[in-house]
Amino acid sequence: MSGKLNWMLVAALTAAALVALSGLYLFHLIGPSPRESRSLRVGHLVADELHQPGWCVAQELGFVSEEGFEPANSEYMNGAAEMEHFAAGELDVAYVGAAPFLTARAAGVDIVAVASSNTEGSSIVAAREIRDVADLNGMRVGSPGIGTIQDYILTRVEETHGVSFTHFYAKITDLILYFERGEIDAYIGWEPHPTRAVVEGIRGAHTLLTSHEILPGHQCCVLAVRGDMVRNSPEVVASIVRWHAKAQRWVLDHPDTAEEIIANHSGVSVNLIHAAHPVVQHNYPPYLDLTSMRIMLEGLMASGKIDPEDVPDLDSFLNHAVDNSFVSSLLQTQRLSLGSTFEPQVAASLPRTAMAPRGAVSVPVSR
Amino acid sequence: MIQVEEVSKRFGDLLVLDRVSFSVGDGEFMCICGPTGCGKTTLLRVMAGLIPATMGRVLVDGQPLDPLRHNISFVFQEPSCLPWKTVSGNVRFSLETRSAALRQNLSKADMDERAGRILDFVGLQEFAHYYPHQISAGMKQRVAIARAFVTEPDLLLMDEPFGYLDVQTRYFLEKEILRIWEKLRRTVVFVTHSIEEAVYLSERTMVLTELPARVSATIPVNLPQPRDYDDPSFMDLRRKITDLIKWW
Amino acid sequence: MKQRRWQDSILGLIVLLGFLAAWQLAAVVVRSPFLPGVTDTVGAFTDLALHGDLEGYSLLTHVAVSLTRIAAGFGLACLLGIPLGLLMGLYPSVYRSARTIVEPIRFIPPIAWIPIVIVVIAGFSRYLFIIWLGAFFPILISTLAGIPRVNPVHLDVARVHGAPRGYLIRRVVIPSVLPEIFAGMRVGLGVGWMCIVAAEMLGGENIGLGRLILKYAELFKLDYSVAGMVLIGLLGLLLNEAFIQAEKRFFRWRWEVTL
Repeated sequence: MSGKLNWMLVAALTAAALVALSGLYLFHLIGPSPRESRSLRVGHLVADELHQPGWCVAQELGFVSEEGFEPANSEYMNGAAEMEHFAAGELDVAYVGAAPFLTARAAGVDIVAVASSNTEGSSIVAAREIRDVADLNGMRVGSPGIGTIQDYILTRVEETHGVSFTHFYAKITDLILYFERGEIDAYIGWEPHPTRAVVEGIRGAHTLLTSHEILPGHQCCVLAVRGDMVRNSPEVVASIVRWHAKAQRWVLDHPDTAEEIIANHSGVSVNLIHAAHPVVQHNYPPYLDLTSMRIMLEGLMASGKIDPEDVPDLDSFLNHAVDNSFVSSLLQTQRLSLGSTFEPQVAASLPRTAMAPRGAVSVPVSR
Repeated sequence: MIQVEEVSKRFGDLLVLDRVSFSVGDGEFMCICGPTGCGKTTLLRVMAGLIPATMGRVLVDGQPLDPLRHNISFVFQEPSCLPWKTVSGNVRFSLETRSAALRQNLSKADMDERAGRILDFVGLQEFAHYYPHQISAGMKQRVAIARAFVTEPDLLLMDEPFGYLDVQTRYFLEKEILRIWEKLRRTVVFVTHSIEEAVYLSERTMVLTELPARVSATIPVNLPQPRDYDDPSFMDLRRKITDLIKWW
Repeated sequence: MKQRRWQDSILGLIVLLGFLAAWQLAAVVVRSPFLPGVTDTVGAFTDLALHGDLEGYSLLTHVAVSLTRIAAGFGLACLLGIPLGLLMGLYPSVYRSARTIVEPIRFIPPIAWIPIVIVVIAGFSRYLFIIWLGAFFPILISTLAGIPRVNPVHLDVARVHGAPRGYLIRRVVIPSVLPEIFAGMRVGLGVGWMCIVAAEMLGGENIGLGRLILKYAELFKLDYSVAGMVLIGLLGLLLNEAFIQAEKRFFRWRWEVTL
């Protein structure tokens, strides 16, 4: 009898030990730690090549392998999903929207933004019956996710224009479907998805507002890396920023070829990319815009998406979250800048064409 | 008056009943005995109209047997109480079924009354609202018997109804079935493998051969009731029938 | 008997407390913002209960909306599953011919339908369909599998008295199969309940318990997500218990009711 009890005890202890071990392994307390080799795990957003062309361009043109990296690509449905995987230690580099980046950082993810991928670049499209923003009152407006910049922009529109509408959440690629069926009468998304409805003439879609008209020059997608990389291997981060900056520059210098590359990668027509392109600004030098990020941070805290407790001091938080120094050093050493200013600025990257959204203003290119 | 004429039953290649012929008088209590597995149950099921005969026929009062036209009841060997009905619900079930089959529309009060009376008669009235799983196996069979009798059948078939019960319950129920039959006087055909039981209960015992079954002999049992297992004439008849059946 | 029940309850309570303690310990040891402990979850739950979520929807709204979706999907599953199950059980030829469609579809998980459902179906019907998918098959299969299990003796009892086929079905087959149908319904409700998160992944207004979990996960507030998970689990448990109690009452004549 006691022999049997002994066996049971042994079995129970073994089971408990196994459970504990697997728990420890799952939470990375034991086992192999994320490697810091030249094999780089990069995440980007699906169907977001227009905001994050640096990535597909850099790959296509070999800028990444020039730096000696073997990239492993991962795609995510939206920034929040990407940040979740980043937090789990599955990514080293992420192209991600500023809002999910800030939310993740506030939640304690060790991530630092080191360069800008694009600014602005979203629009609100609406059905023909909706003539202006006031008509949105009481409607359902599509949003690609509660943690996205676009959702923040919607809230900002509600506040600045004194309207109120329901946010209807769906995958970015599904928004156009819901719009077509009449389940939503307007939606916001990152380009080219809003312009797509306009180009395909769905329900007489037209662009109601672009992000330029809502928050000019606002930071949109950023290039972010693991915090420990910034601290322990800054030369790796410098290489990353280098191929990114090269790619950004290249997009500005070769817009047509860039549009073709983007169209190929995203599987949509070049015409669509070309039509949507003016809404998106690929700022060069790719400094991160702290002003707009601060405004966004305040907005996220106000709407309860970020706990004020996690951000006791906004400026200190931003200073630790954002690191423009890599871009500055790059410019100093490589003299890629076509100007001689070293201050963070937003440079308009493309002259606005006749196909630009309503209300666009022609801004002289600062060279 | 039941007549079984040259009934044969074949299942595929297996011939179970081979030209079985006999008749049963009104109100008679007849037992059927035979070696194990000789087809007694099959014969009874043919007589109930549950399975068709391959050849031959069964006549009830000159008419071919029809469960709809003729009032037949069956008490099965295994427990057959409907578990979702109470004791009185089970008894009423045969009345309800008969009423529905004949489109008679017996009133509920009528059925309740008849069910109540038979339950009284078999001594189960205080268990009327019990469910089958709450009563003993012997009581379940009594419910089945009550259910069979309540429709006042022309022919009551019983297939080793006490087979699954213990000896004491068997003795009790044998006495009970005689009491009920003597009061209600319905025609009973009772299959049993216990020769003792056959001699105790029947007015006539028919013996079947082993597979394929034919009628081996029909023995009248003219002993007066109540019968005594130890009586010499009882034991004589027992021996006689046993010899007829003996296949070992 | 009563003493044993008390003993079981106390033992159960000890196991539960042990689990909660282990969970809290794990959270403290790992100290990751992404593994909320018991206290964090309870705090989040209280916040949700008292103040609603960050968009202003109350917890009650979320629960009511999810329950409505489930009720609709489950109701439709019963409405279709039970008659079809009876039909296929009573007429095996129908089952045999329908099998070629039913069997493959049965094994496609509801989540896999999501891409098609978004495009093909609109509005509330989307939730209805996904939940219906989950609940329908257990109900159908339980019903049709229960029919061959009807005790032939019971059928014979009625046949001997001349019962026509319709009577046999109504008065013998259906009462016999009813416990199995009920069990199938209970399983179906459980599966449908589990589909609520899948269904709510389809997108829409941010109302519903599944959406609540996803919403807070997107904002990295995992304590709220876990609170939502716990709530979903508790509600599912309550529904299951309610079903079992109903089964016990309706089927007093059975001597065992399974889990």
